[in-house]
Amino acid sequence: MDWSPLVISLKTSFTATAIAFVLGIIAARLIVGLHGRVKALLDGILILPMVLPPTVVGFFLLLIFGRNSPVGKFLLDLGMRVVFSWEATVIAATVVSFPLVYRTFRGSLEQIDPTLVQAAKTLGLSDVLIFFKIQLPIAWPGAVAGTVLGFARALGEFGATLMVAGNIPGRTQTIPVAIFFAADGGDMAQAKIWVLIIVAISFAMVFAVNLFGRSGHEHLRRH
Amino acid sequence: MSIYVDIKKSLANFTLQVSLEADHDWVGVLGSSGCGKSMTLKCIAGIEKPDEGVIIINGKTVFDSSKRICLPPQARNAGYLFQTYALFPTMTVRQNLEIVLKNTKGIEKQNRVEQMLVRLSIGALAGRLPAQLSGGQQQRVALARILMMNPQIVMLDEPFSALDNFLRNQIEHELREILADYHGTVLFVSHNRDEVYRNCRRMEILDEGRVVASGSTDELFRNPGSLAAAKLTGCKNIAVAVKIGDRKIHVPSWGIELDTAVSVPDDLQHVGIRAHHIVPGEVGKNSNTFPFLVKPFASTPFSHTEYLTLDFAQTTAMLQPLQREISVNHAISSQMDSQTQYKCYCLPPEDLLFLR
Amino acid sequence: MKKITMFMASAFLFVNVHAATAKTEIIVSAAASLTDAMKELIVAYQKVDSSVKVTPTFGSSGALQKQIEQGAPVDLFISAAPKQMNALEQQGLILSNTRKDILENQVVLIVPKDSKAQVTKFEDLAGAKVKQIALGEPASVPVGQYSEEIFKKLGILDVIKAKSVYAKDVRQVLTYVEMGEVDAGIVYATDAIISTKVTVVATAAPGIHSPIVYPAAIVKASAQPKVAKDFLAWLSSPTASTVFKKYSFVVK
Repeated sequence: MDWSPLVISLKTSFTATAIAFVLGIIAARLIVGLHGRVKALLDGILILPMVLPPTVVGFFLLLIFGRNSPVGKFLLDLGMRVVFSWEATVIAATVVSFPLVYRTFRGSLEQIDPTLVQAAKTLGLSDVLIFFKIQLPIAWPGAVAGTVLGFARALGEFGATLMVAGNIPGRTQTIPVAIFFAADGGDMAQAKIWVLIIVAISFAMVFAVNLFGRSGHEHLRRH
Repeated sequence: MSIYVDIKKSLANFTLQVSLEADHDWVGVLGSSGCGKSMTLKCIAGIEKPDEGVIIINGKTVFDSSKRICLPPQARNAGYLFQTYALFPTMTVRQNLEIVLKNTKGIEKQNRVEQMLVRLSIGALAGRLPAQLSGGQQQRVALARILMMNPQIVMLDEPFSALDNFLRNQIEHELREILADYHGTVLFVSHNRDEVYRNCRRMEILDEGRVVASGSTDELFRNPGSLAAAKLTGCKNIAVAVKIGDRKIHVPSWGIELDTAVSVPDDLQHVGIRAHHIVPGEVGKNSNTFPFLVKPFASTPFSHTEYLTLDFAQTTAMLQPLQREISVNHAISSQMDSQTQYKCYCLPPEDLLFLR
Repeated sequence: MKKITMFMASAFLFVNVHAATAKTEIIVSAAASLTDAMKELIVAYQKVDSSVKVTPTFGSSGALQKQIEQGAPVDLFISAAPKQMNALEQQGLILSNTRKDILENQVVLIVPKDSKAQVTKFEDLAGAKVKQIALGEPASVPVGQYSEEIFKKLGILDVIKAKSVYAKDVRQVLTYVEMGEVDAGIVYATDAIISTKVTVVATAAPGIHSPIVYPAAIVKASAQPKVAKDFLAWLSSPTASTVFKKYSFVVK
């Protein structure tokens, strides 16, 4: 059996989740500091990939990275071809998993007692220090939960991936794409194998995080 | 002047307009809930921004709306003790203190933290998390944290409100001890007049965003001067009064005329007398003595309250009762019982409060 | 009692009259390469028999075959290769006596209109100038099967596989080439002709792949076999043939 879809899926998902994690945390911190209409507008744009159908997301990605767009042309000049490359699978997966990390972590940040931040400021702590030493540790469970969700989403990404990365066995054929084409071509047995593998990975992830999550934050419980 | 505040801020129900100054002393800020006292502290700390005004802490202008100066809280070095203490929950006590010394390194940092832990007797708690501490212990840690930064001013926002009665005294005592070494100004915000009376030599009384009385605590309690100040300092008997002579006033809602010890001011609007100043008396022998219908009202373990109204035989108008309070020893010695009866009581002229 | 009877009689009449004037609907599953031709044919058929509503659904022949196997309510199936029709016939899902080959097609090599890769024949695809090729997924898309046969015959299959991106139907292959994201693609002559953004550089010689025949048949589970048969018969009429020829199909 050709195991490349598993390798590609894992590489893509881990890479995409790592990027979504960093970007999601930074974005949440920045947005939480804003107010009013600007905040609502930016927030809306950032969670758009989560509410749009994957094919629409894929369409926009094609528009941005395709041969005929300014970004695409610029990258081509640098020798980087995005469409139908492995990097495209990472881009598609990152774009759809980012909103999950961002939104979950932002929710956790906003639940933090505001007097903690106020106290920290009166004690002379800079905003950066406050974020890394106070807010992030408290909101950490939210960051983890969001990342797990993001990973699951990245792993299962199909529509946008197919549009911008295509079906190239050994390069961009992730497990969901392999499942689709196996089923389409009538090879149900093959499709079932991939389905079981994805279920196993997703379940293992969620199980591990639940286990870690519970024991990791016992100390925050009040007596 | 270690602290000078003159600010104005528009709030939901009223406009906060506070002007106060203090000089290395404990200053109480007394007011009922929602009158703007916490907001004033927050403006001084820099957590909230006044619409206009000036705030100067130890000679440093931290806020001046006309010059567009508004220093961030980090630059003001104003210690603020929050009601909930705001200890950082994911850090141990030691870490909570260490983080204040972010610019200090190594041995010096360790030493200073150790010193503070010893000074406030919280060494044994160093490795614990805030959730594992009692209220009193949390307060000590919070104070330690504030003192770590050598604050220019210490502001206590209702420090005892969240505590049980029993703990209150103990912790109040501890607080005074801990801050005994601190020689800057301490602003003590509270809605409890007893606390302010015990701890502050000077006080400001706030009502609906404005300072209605300011001065020495002793003086203000003895002579509140205004209706709001009288209420906030716990005067239970206040009524509209009319000057009818140089040393005589008429109080319609009590149905009586009273002699005063000093000349009555022309702008008199109200008169007040504290509940514990009403004493037994004899008609004819003491001035301002009347036969009252006495209704016992409530007893706590340590005091007894009665409601006094003028004998109905002498008047038919609806009258406001006077409240009299006595501590429990006197109750026993006067053999109070629960039945309504007639008694003569005196409102000593020297205890009458003239209020605007 | 009389009132209820009157009510029910009129309701019955109403429903029947309504039913009588409603159109009969048949669903035609057709290979993706037939998209444009079929749409035009359906409009033309309206004038022939306005009581029939023909609803088309398009996709790769493999996908359509599976839908029928899963019980989709299809009346008429037109595949782009015998393989998918054979599979259905073996499972007894079509009326064998209605099966007939109605069209033939040709396979062509296309490049984006502004291509600089200098591709002139199928063999050029193995060259270094060609970095990415779009092909139909061989397992489910007939044009993908034919492409593989061509490459096998030319002995360059392995080289080509390394540069291929597989589409889920022939129209997607066309789109990839139109977008310029690939250097070349293999589609039917009938697809190339409707696009203004691609250039046909070569046509596959006869014999280099199995004959491209489009079989059509009535699905056994059809609810309207007579209506479907009439439509199928009409697809061989002179009017229909003109439309097919317009799109470069070869009419059998």
